[in-house]
Parts: sequence; structure tokens; C-alpha cells
Amino acid sequence: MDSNHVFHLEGVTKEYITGEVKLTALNSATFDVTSGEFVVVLGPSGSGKSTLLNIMGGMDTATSGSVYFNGGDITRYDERMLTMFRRQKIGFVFQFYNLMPNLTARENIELATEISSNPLDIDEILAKVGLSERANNFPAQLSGGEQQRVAIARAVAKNPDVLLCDEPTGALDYSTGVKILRLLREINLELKKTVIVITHNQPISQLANKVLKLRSGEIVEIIRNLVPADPDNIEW
Amino acid sequence: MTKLNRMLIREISKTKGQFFAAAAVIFFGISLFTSSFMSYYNLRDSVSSYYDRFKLLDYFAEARSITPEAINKIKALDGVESAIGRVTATIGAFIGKNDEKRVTLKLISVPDSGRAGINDLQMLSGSYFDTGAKELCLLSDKFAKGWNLKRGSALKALINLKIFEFKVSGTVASPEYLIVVRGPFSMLSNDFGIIYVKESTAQKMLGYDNSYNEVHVRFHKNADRGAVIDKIEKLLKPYGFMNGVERKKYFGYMIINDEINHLEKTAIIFPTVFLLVAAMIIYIMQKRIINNQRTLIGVMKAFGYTDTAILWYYVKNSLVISLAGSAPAVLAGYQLGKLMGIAYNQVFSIPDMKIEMSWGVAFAGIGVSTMFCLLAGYNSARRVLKIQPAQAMRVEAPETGKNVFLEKIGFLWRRMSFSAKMIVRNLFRNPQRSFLTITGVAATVMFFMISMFFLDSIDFAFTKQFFDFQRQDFKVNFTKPVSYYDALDIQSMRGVTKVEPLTEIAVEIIKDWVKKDTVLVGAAENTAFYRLINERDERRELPEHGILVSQMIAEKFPVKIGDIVTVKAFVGNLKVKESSKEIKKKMRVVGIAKQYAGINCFVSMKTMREFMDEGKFVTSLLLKVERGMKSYVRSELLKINAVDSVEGRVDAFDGFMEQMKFMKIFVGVMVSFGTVMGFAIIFNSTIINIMERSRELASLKVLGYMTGEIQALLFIENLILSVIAIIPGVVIGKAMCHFINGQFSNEMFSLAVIIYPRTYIIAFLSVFICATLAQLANTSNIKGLDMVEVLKSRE
Repeated sequence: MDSNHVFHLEGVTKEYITGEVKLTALNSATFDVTSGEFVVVLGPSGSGKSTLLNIMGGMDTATSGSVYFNGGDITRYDERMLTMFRRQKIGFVFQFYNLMPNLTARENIELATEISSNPLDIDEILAKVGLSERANNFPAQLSGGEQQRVAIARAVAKNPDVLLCDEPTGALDYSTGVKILRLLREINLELKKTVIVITHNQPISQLANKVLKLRSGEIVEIIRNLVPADPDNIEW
Repeated sequence: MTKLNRMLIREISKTKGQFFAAAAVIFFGISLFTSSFMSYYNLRDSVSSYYDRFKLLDYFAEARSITPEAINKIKALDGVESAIGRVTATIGAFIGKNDEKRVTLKLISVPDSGRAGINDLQMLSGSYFDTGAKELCLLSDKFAKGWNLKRGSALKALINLKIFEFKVSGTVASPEYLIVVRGPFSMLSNDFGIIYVKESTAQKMLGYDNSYNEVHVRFHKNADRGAVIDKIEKLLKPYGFMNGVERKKYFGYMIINDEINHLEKTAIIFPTVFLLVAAMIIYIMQKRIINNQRTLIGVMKAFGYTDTAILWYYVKNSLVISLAGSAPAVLAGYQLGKLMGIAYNQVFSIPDMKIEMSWGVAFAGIGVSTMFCLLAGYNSARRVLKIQPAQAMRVEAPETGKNVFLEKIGFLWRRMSFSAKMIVRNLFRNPQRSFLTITGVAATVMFFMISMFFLDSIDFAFTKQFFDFQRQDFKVNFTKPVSYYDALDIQSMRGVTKVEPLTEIAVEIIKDWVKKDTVLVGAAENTAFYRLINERDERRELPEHGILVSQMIAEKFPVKIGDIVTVKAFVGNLKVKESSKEIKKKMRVVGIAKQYAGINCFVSMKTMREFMDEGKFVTSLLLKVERGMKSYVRSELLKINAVDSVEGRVDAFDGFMEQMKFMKIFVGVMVSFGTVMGFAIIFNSTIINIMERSRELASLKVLGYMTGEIQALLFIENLILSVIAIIPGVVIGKAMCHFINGQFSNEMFSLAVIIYPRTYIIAFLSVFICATLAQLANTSNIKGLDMVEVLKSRE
């Protein structure tokens, strides 16, 4: 395995069995993610994108196969090690933000930094996402785009190696979506974070260094993009 | 402050209603628990320390005439700490401006000099016999207060047909009479009191020549009581020994002990049931709430929060609810316990009634509630934590979409409106949610039943006893057995229409090795005043021969019709015979007599005479009086010296009901606690319902449903669940009533569980009112549903 690979997946399969029906959400996925890459996992809904992301983030277990993170197989981790893995290495961004409704923007970020051993400066992050002025607002007082920016700030502030983003623009309008993508791109380039975005939105894949196309649980194509587009130049 | 703690505080302040409702359930459970236990312990400890301080007797014996030498011999016995002789008698007294009121007093002698070393008196007003005057007396405090008798007041007593005038020197309390009543089945009444006079005076008045009729003994701690008692009784034989009892069988002690035991059971059973239900409700509620926060838990896990940290967060939440409810509950319980102590002391007469907090109880209360809350928080959170974070964040799989059974009844289903169909489906598809509401309502119904059934049962028993079983207007008790023919003379009194003789003696019924104390009642063969019934509620005539055994004795003994039992009595108790004699005769059980209050055995007058071998005498007389002549006849009867007391049947019923006042207060407290708890439970289940279904309800709003219409849907759902809940509520309630009744029944006291329709109606109405109020209180929650927000975000 290349030492530059932050993730290496080997034959990762996820099956759900409900009653007598067996559903294969992910079928023998094998690929690498290099440190500092911006990866887009593209596929229609039900193609297994979220399942893949959850397994990579240590939020779900694979039925078979291995997920190596910096050389360690996280499928062999116990609960405690998985928790530490999520705490130190991974930052999640969700489609519906999932902010704590009872905490302000700043407090939501602090919620993450409190348990991190090497957090980034909260004010800097808030400035980075452009929310210094709204730091003391509760989620209900923020727009969708602002909420997503808080969610990104929250994920980044822990100073993780990888940012896993599940349809980060899915609930946003076009121009807000573009702003969020630009922010993710900046985090990727300036803070040197590996960013993995899953989406069903084809144009977003233009941003990526690497695009994984998923259909019915299978990776059907891996495209390398030597010249990623600028977020401002993509349209959907 | 950590962010999780801050989140906790904000979460609580956001869900104030829910929080307070849950805390309220705990509050009422714990305050009832604390107050009942506190007042019980206070009473028990006060009584026991009073006994120690004023030296209640360890052993009591009655004999015809005990000399001071005999007392000295008893004192000299090994194991005896002290012994005193006493003279006692039941006497009449006249009270009021023109001495128009006749009352009964128990006269007890106290030493001429110094204080009694056993059953000492506590002065409450005035002073002890401070002058040498012989006619001084002390009175039991409540009696004196009731008749406004103070130091210096005069009192005329009727002793051996002579009038003596006493001057009140002071009022007292005695460890022997912490409840001043005539006998085991007597009620509290101002017509009875205790009068203490100097020994020499009492001996002279009652005709005891330097001798006593009672001896009281206290033992050394390590004395072999059985052996010492044997020696005392042997020693007293030549002095006309009649009977002797240890403290635990001594009337003055037994009556208090029974009361305390009853209170103990009340203090344990009711609050425990209350607390257990409160705990169960909290448990279910916490579980539902935490289940609704799956997503948040998933997110926290995704950040890398450990299971322990998340678990601790929810456990803290439960802890705060528990403390918010139980800490003020301990204070409220203390206040309530004080009030209960005061109420107890209206029945008891303990001058030094201790009213203090029992910290053990307080901690136990907080501990119990905390334990249950923690268990609920821990269990529910643990269940959610077990699942993978990704799964936790996913919306829970919808309930299976099967048709509900009503849909199979085509003609009914087709006729139902759309809303009705929706309601029915909701109820059946969310059995867990329905279960919470049903549990809450059923618990509320149960509370009402167990709180009120005692009143119903007692009311029923006494109504039966005094209006069905007994038919006389008055029962006249004689100071000692009188000749049958003398007693029947009363028939000629103006206004008296019918009299029947009655003889009641205390006996022991023995079969094999089992003994039971009871009262043997000898009544006229064709008695018109006692309507005896058998266990099947059929009329039962008094048989000429053989004995009718009380149903309770028959069941507990057990004896059945046809059995032969031994009946034993001390004739000496009747004081008819010169020498004391024990009578022991065999009788055949010829029937069972069902009684609602009291446990007596019945024989005909003829059988009673044969048993006593004593000639014709009676202890009481039952009589019927012309309309409008009751007060005249009563006052005339009381003028007869041989008459001890005249009990009016209706007055006795009223008296017993009056004595129920304390019980009514307790029931009142229980019912109001139950109502608030019921409200809190229904309020919480409604709010959880709304929370869980916010998406569904917002969708209805989007479709154009008005707030009122949505509210109506929820209300009807709650109402249907409440109606369904009534069935388990009533079934469990009834079972609990039987259980509690069983706990309270003893040899002397047993009730049939009776629940009046009124109780059911009150219970159902209260549930309905609680449901309505909870619904109204939740209006703002429904109004506040933000359609856009709710529908936009994932559940």
C-alpha cells in the first residue's frame, strides 16, 4: 500500500438482510484515497454512497472486506478504537447539518473541539467560514447555508485528517451550494485536509481530483481529474 | 461548563413543561412517601419513649382482693423490678350546669404519697395532689377539656349508689391511656374519661379495706418473664386471682399498638404503590424521549464522543429530574408530615408528640427516585448507544404497514370517516406510544380506587351493621350483670315499646390447639333486634342449642358446621360469683354468622344460661322506643344507677363515621396527589406524542387542517386510549384493593372490599378532566409546530 494513501478499501461489501430479502448496499468496493485529495463519490440515490461514507467514517460496519486508514484496518477496531478514530481523524458534514439545536454556532463548534486533542482556533475557523458575526446565534436563527457552514466549521475545528461530507449542498440553493463547495475546496487546499464528498449532483464532480462513480452498490468507474474546476465555474 | 452540560441545561429549559410534569410525578410520590413514613416513625418513637419515660407496666393481674403483703411478696420475686397495687372501678358521674349529663368514668387509684412507680402520670395542667384534702382528683386531659373542667372545678361521682363530690386538682396524661376509650370496639367519646384519686380515698369509697383489685408489675430486663408470671399468678391464687396479661395483651397497649401497626401499613403500602407507579412512568417516559433523540446521539457518536460520555449526559438528565422532584418533595413531605402528626394526635393523646424529620426516610425517598430515574436513563440510552451511529442517525424504520383488524370488518370500516380511520390506524400502529398513555391512565384509575375503597368498604360495613343487622334504638349496658327480671322492668318505662335481654361475655374459643378471643353474645331466641345472616346472605334464626360462629373465625380457625369447639370464660370477670372460676364447656357449631363489623359468636339466652350455670342474668338490654321519646328515655335510663351507658344505634354509627375523619383527610390527600399525578402523566404522554409525531402533524397542517382539528384528533385518540385504560385500571385497582385489604385484616378487624359506583364515576371523571386539561396545556405546542422547519429537516 502506498504510504501516501490515507484510505485503502479492499473488497468492502455491505449487506442488509430484512426478513427474507437480502439487499447488497455495497458490493466489493476497492479503491484508494490519497492524502490531500478532494474526492467526489457520485451516484444516484440508493447507489450505496452513504453506506460507503458511513463505513469509511467508522459509523457503520462492513459485512466483509477491509478499510485501511493510514495502514490500520478499521474493520478490526473495537468500539472504543472506532470512537477514538472518529474523534481524532474524521470530520463529518451532513446533508441536514445536524447541529445541536440548543447550542449556539460557537458552542456547536466547541462541542467538537472539547474532545479533540489538537483543535484549531475557533475564532479563526469562524472567520474562515465567515460567521464571526453570527457566532452567538442558535441554529434556528441561521439560514440553511449558514447552518451548513457551522457544520463544516464544527467538522474542521477538530483538526481531523479527513472531512467526510454527505450531500453537503443537498439541502441548499444553487448559490449557497457553490459557496459551501468553495469553502470545502479552500479547506482542502489551505488546511491540507483530505475531503470526500458524496453527491448525486454530476457537476460537483468537476471539483474533484478523483471521482468514484457508484451504481447499485458497485464502483463502476474511477476517474482522475488532473485539472479540477473552480467552484465558481460549475453550474447545475 | 462543558458544552454537554450547557446543552443539558438548555434542553431542560426548552422542555420545561415536560420536565416539570416528570418532576411533579416524583415530587408527589416522594412527598407522600416522606410524610407518611415520617409521621409513622414519629408516632411510634413518641409512644415508645413515652412508655419508657412514664413506665408502662409489663404485666397486669386482676384479683378479688390483694393485700399490701401480697404486693410486697411480688416485689421480692426474682426478676421483678417493681410492683404496685391499684384500686379501679367503672363509675358514673354527673356533669354540666345542673348535673344534667351522665358520663362514665374509670376510677384509678394513685399512691397517697409519692408518685406511682408504674404507669406514672404526666401533669398537663393544675398540679398533683398538693394538699392533704381527700376529695381531690385528677382527670384525663381530653375529657377535662371537653367538659371545660379545670383545677378547682367540681365533679359529682356516683359510687356504690352514693354521690361523692370531687374537686379537680389538675389534668393528666397516662401511658396506659394514650387513646382514651372504654374498650376494644369503643369509639372516642367525651362521655368517657379517667379519674385518678388517692389510694386511701378510693379504697374507702369502693369498699376495699386496705387492699387492691389490680397489681401492676415491671420486670427486670433479663427476667424470665414466663417463670415470674407463673410465680405471681400462683402467689395471687389465694387472693382471688382472676386473670393476668402481659403488656402485649394489655388493652391500653394493644389498642395503641394496633393503631401503630395500621399506620405502618398505611405508611408503607400507599406511598410505595405511588412511588412504584411514578418510577414506572418516569421509566417509560425517559425511554421514549431518549428514543426520539436517536439522531443527536448518532451525531455525537460521529464526532467521537464515547458511549460513556453520551450515557452520562442522559443519566445526568434523569438525575436532574429526580433531584428537581425529590429535593423539594422532602421539604414538602416534612410539612405534610407535621400536619399528619397533628392529625394523629387528635386521636392519640401524646403530650410530647415528636415531630421531626426522619433523615433516613428523606434519603431513602431521594435514593429510591434517583435509582429509578437513573435506571430509566441508563437503560434507554444504552439501548440507543448499542446501535451503530450511522443507523442511529437514520430515521427509525416505519412500523409495519399492516391493516388493523378493524379494517377487516368491512361494513364498519367503510362507514368510518377519514379522520376516524386515521385515529384507529394511529392507535394500533404505535402500540408502544399507546401503552404509555394507557399505563398512565390505568395508574390514575387505580390510585382513585385504592385511595377510596377503604371509605366505601367501611361505610358499607357500618351501614350494614347499624342499619341492617341491628334494629334496636338503644343498647343499655349495665355496670355489672343484673337479674333478667330486674332488667325487664325497664319495659314498663314510658316510651319504651319493646325490650330484649342480651348477655355479652369475653370468651376464648378453642379447637385442637388453636385459640381465639371473641365475645360470646347471648340473645333472645326470637330476637327482633338482631338480623343474623349466614355466609350466603340468607336469614339465620338463632338456634336454641349450639353456637353460631362468626364467618371470620370460621374461616381463619378453621371450623365448620358440625364441629365441636371448647368455649372458655372466666366467670370472675362478671363478678357475680364470690370465688373466681373458670368455665370450660363444649359446644357444637350449628351455623356461621356473617358480620360486617366485629367478630362475635352467638348463642341463645337459654344456651348462655346453661353455659354460665348462673341463673338468669343479663349484661345489656336492647330496646325500641316510641317516636319522639328517645331523649326522654335516654335521660330516664341514665338515672338508673345500675346503668353504665346507653348507646344509641344511630349515634354510634355517626360516632364511628366521625372517627373516620382522619381517614378521610388521608384519602383526600391521596386523591389530590393521584389527580395531579394523573394530570402529569397524561400531560407528558400527550407532549411526547406531539413530539414524536411533529412531522405527521405538520403534514396535516400543510394539508389545511386547523389547529383545533389536529387537537381534536389527538384528543379523541387520548380519549379512546383512556377508555381502553379504564379496563386494566379497574382490574388492577380491584386486585390492589384486595391486596391492601388483606394487609390490613387481622383477627379483630376485617372488611369486605366494596367499591361504590360513585368512586368509579369520580375516577373516570377525573381521568377525563386530566385528559382535557393536558390537551389544553399542550395547545401551544401544536400551534407552534413550524410546518416548514419540521418538513424540511429530517426526523
